[in-house]
Formats: sequence, structure tokens, C-alpha cells
Amino acid sequence: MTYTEDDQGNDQFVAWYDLEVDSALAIGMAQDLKASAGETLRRPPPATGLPSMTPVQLDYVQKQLASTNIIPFVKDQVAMRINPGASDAAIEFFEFFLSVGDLQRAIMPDINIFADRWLFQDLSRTMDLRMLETVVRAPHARQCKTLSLNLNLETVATLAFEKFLERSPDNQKLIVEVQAIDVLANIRTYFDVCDVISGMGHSLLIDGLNPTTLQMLDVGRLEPDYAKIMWAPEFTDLLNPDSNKTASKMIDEVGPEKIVLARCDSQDAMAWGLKSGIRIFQGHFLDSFGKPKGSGAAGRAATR
Amino acid sequence: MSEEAQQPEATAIHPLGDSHEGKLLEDIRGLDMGARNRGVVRLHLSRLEPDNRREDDLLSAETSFDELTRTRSAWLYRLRNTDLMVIFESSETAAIEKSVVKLLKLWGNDELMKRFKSDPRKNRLSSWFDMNTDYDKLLAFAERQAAARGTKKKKTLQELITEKETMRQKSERGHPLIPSELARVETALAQVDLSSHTRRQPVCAFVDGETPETVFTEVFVSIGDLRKTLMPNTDMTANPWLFQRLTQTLDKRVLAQMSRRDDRSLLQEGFSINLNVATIMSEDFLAFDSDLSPSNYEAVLELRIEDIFSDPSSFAFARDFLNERGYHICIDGLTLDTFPYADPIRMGVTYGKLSWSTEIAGMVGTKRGEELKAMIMMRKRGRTILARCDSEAAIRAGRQLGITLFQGRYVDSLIRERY
Repeated sequence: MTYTEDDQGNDQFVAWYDLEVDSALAIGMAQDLKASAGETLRRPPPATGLPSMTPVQLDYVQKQLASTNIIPFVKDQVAMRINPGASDAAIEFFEFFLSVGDLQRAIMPDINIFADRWLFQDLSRTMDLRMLETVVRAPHARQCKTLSLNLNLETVATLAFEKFLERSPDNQKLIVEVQAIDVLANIRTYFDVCDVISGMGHSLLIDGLNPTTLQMLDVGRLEPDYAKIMWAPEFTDLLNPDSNKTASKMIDEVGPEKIVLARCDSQDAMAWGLKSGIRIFQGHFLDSFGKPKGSGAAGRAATR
Repeated sequence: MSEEAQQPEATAIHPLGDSHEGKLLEDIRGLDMGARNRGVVRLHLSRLEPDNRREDDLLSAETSFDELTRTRSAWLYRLRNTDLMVIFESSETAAIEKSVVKLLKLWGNDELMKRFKSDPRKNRLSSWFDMNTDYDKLLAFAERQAAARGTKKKKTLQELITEKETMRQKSERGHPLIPSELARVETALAQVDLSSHTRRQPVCAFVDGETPETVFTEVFVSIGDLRKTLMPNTDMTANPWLFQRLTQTLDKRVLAQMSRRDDRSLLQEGFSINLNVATIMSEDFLAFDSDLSPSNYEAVLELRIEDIFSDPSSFAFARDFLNERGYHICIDGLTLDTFPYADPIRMGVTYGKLSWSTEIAGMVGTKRGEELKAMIMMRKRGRTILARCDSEAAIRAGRQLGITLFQGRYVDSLIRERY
């Protein structure tokens, strides 16, 4: 169920690559793809033992990031809608994200850029702008019916975002993925962004939720179009839909139809989700279901 | 992208309209029977042709009443639709009429002025009221405006971008903090003498409805003062992420200062301090805590909601540790918008601190106000503190909404009167 070529038999991904970067990088990226699939923008890898980024280094990284070619670090992952009744599945959207681990290794190999949450959050504002200008030019992203991007709320209120929408294919739908802390720190902007986004026929997703956040925060009241919950094995005990009323209450509060269960890496995760009424899934376990049409090199790498 | 959704609507929305309409209602409600010897004029600026409704035009309308508002013989309110409402002392009627005539001339070429060009009372730009006879009508109008809030039209992307641009350019506190500056400020902050910037402000309960009793006293560093000392040309809070990082350095200084204080009586009387979750998990806090027995008095740690959600698992861990030690946690800095999402019971904390705004006064007696009240009543165990109360109206509105704990300059003045 992967696509290696477009209708004309051209490998657009490689063609795009030839124009933008040297081919050695392109091959390297294709090889890395399988290994890094599933890594997402705002979820930093575990502590590396490297020294934490300082504000001065952040300044340097921001400047580097503004001029670095980020194409090799742009990754994608499918989210599937499963229909258990009819035993079939369809692509809900493709998430495009920046592999921050790779980015760090390229720009600042000796520094941990995730160590300070606030400095990293500031860095992500520059990442947003680079992603907007890069993804809109990527043929395999342009082919997606629906694509999702991790953005800060303030990025939506910029000319860069407006330009992104202008240059996007006419019938493409966008899902803006935002973090709960961004929502709570900028709640007025959040409500404005919800209005603006839905007014244009696009959607909003609150990312990075887990049992602790769901317990503390009434996500349903924020009325996002989607809410992404990160699967963890302890869910089977913590939120057993059979034995634990809290689980079903929390899922009902958000609305199971809005939930994307991410980081699904096993049959268990899927089974738990389906039993809880969740229908949209993302993670290693589903990666083989889809690659964006036209992402030749990427598609081949994922099925090897 | 639908064409229709992108079309900006013809009617402008004044950015200050919301808060001014709240103030209008608060002021009209506050006018006692004996104090109603006032006139009111509404200037229908929204009826002017679009070319006459530019920002400069609207500003010149406001400034024509400057003299009277400065001497407090008139009060000016901007409505959401860009109309102006002016309440004035009856003795100033002639001066107000003169100002209105000036405006009629200013827009003499507007379609609206075709007839009645010079009569201050007979024209389509202004409507006049008498507070004595029209009080009920004016009150009803102000209540309607307040109730209609929240049903404002949806913004378009262009409007949102323009609004954010304008906010950035118009910031009176300088440019937003940038990383290279943050490094410098952190170094300076580690050395600056904080004692002159440190403030105390009590949180009070009103016993028998009248007398304020201090429940605990917040000790905090005045960010405004600190900004003036360390970086007068920078808006320290405009970048929320870098500001949050800066507060971690501040936390360490405050903890050290509190432990060192000769006068440690405050720590025994009940206090609150502002901290980050990361600080509570650090050696600095353990050192501070080792001298205290918080279960004997009210010891409150104030945390910001975005900090809590930046690392919910660390927060849950810190919260359980603090509960065991006898501390109470307060979720600080809540606004009407974030308040519903910071449920102290759900988050396992004791207090939620809501900042007073005139919008709250506008809500009393409306459907939104009833919903807020129900929420406050439901959170009895996680009690609501109304902060930044700078007027009696704040306390009055707060109590009507079921709030029992108050903080702010007005409360300070009551305490001073008492001692």
C-alpha cells in the first residue's frame, strides 16, 4: 500500500531533491527514514548526557536554522482511520514534522537543545517558519489530501502562514497541531486561531496529551477538531476501559471520534484504542499503511 | 479557502470596546440616586462614511473631550462598534455641546451631516440622554452590551495578522526579549539587589462580610521595577517562553533571600511565593524547605498553568511531595479565559487565582456571570482568590459571584485603615 511513483511514472521526490540539495544527502535521508519514523517535532529524545543549550547558544542555533537547508530533516508519518465494522482503513492525514534529533546532530552536535523546555519552545518558532516555506514546496506534501503541521499559535498569525496557505494546493486540507502549553499560555490567540482555521475549512489538533494531562485539563471544553493522545503501555492498567470508569469518562469528555492515538507501536495499543472507541491511529505499527503519493525514495525505504 | 469567509466585514471592532463596555456598566451601576445629575451623549461614529472613520478621525473625536476627562468632569467610553459614549457633569453641558459642534464641522462633508450641520442637539451624529430621567434605559443598554459580549463576529486571518502586528508595534514597553539579551539579563539578575524590588501583599477573607482578615501574605518581586532596572527598553513578558525561563533564575534568588531574611516572622505567619515546578524539584527548594514546618501555618506556592502543563508528570510528582509536607498550591495568573480550564479540584491543588477585570463586573447578573458563579461555587474546596482588586466594585462583584478571598490595592488600603 505504498506509492513509489506518480501517475506519469516520475519520481517527484527525487526530482525535488536534485534541485534542492546534493544527492548524497538525499540517499542518506532515505536510509535514515525507516529508523527515524515516528520521531516527532515536539517530543524530544531522552536526555543525552550533553550539556544544556544556553541562551547564547540558542541565539546561534536560531541563526543557523534560518540558513540551514532543512529538507533532509523533514519527515512524515501517516494517521489512519480504522473502521472495525467493515475491517477497512483509510488515510486520515499525513503529519509533516522536523526531526529535531537529526537537526541537532547537524547544527549543534555537542549541545542538548531540548534540555530547557522554554528555550526549545522559543526555538520552535523559527522551526515553524522554516517548515512553512519548505513543506509547501515539497511535491510529496503537495500531493496529500490532508496534511498536518506542528505550529505555534503565534505562527498562524503571521504573513508566513498566510503565504503558505496561498501557495498550498487549492483543495488541500490543513490540520494545525498545537501544544497544550501554547494553548494555555495564549488562550485568546487559541480561540482566534480556531475561528480563523475553521473559517477557512481547515482543522485544529491539540497535541501531546497523556493520562495526566487528560485528568487535569478539560480538553473537550477547548473544542479542538482533534486531540492527540500519546499511547504508553501503562494505559492498559491506568485506563482500562473495562474496569476503569475514569478512562471512559476522560475519553468521552474529549469525544472518542476526535482522538488520534499516536505512538501506536503494537497490537495492544490498537486493541486498547479500538475498545475505547478511538478510530484514528498513528505510530510505527501503522507506518507501513501509507507514504505520501510521490515520495518515491521515502516510500521505498519504508517498505524495505 | 472559501472566498466568503475571507471577506472582512464593513463594521470595525474597537479593540478596547470590550473592556470599556464593562467599565461603562460598572460605572452606571455605581451611580447612586443622588449622584445622577449627569448628562450622556453617544456619538455614532460608526454611522460615518468609511473614509471618515480612519484611526486618526476616531482619535480626534476622543481628544476633543480630553480637557474634561482630565479634570474628571467627563468620562469617555469606546464601544465595540467604535461609537463613543461620554458621561459628563451637567454643569459641563455647554462645553460638551461645543465639542460636539466641532466634530460636526470636522465631518461636515459626510453624508450624515447633510442636514442639521451645526445644531449640537439636532443631528444624526449624536444622541443625548439625561442620567436622572433615562437611567433605566442607559443601564439596560449597558447590560445588553455586556451580555452580547462573546458573541462577537469571527476574525479572518488577515484581521488576526494585522491585530498581532499592531500589538507588536504599539507595545509601550519596548521590543520583546531576545535570546542574546536573556543571557545578559540572567547574569545581571544573579547579582542585582532584589530587596528593593520585593513587595508584600496580603490575601484576605472578609469575616462578617466587612472586616478583612489576612489569610496569607504574598511575597513577590515586582517585574515592572525589575524591568526598569535591568532592561528599560525591553518588554520582558512579551515572549512568554523566554520570560518563563528567566523566572527560574528569579526563583533561586527569591528562595535564597527568604531563607536569609533576618525577619523570618513572615514565614511563620503564612506566606506565598511564586515558583516554577522545576525549582520545586531542585536542591534550592529542599534547602529552603528544610527550615520550615509548613503544616503549622498557611504556606502557599503559586504556580503558573503553562508551567504546570509544560511537564505534567513532574508537576504531579512535586504536588504529591508538597501535599505531604503541608504546603498548599495556588494556580496563579488566571484570566476569565483560562479560569474554566484551571480546576483546582481536578488538578489536586488548593487555590486558583483569578485576576480582576472590569469585564467581570459586566458579567454580574448575566448568563455568563451565572455560569461563572456556578463554577466558583463548585470549586469550594479549591477556593478562588480574586486578585488585583483595585476598587470596591471589584470586591462587590467578586462577592456576588461567590468569591471569598481577595487581594489587591483596594484590600491593602482597607488593611492600612485598620491598623
